[in-house]
Amino acid sequence: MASSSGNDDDLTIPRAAINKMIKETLPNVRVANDARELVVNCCTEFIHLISSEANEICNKSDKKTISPEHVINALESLGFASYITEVKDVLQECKTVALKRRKASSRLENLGIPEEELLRQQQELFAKYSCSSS
Amino acid sequence: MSQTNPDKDSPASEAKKTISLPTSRVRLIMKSSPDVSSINQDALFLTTKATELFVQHLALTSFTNGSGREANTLDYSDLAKTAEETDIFHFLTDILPKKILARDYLNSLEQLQDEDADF
Repeated sequence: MASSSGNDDDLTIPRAAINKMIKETLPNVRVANDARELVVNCCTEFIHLISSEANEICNKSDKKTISPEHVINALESLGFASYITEVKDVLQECKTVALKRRKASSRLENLGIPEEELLRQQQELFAKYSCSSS
Repeated sequence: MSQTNPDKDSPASEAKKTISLPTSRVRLIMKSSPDVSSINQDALFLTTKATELFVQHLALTSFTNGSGREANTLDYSDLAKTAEETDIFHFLTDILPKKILARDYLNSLEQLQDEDADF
């Protein structure tokens, strides 16, 4: 799907992702097109809301980078405390997944052919091709 | 490193179950907020997931409280109504103007023009 955003202000979550979520939340419900469009824009608005609040909290805490703690406090102060438990769970899962990934890729490096060997093979191939093309 | 689009790899497809929205896009939106500088990766995940929960919450609440419930539909007015009636969704009222009839809008425009003409 071609991206329509040329402008920072037009940044939105992809419509397809929103449609999918709406469908999963409200299966069998007919949702008007302009309502869908609206939800897309509400998302952007929500993200701005959370970011600004988290940013303020971050500034007050003398830190330069918005941390998970800041986001959680932002959710709390904006009335979205009910999201916190689930949001924290996801964080845990993401960390686990990232860890698995790192382990997996390092295992791959160990099983694979060492880089020097690969380089050597590459040089051989280059040499071979330059001979055959002349 | 982007951990957004789920690949066919198994670790990434596990991540797919936890987050469906693209984190890279969420990051871009966050950074377009004034004054926001850097965002920790974990903070990004949290925000993305919170946004997902928000969509579900908004859709469900709007449907449940809306007039479309009997007809099993959800439309613009259901969302606008929820934004007005639910405290935590009040921030949406700026982008959810109640739709007005074009006729009424033109009338109010005319009125303004008349007032200007009096100068």
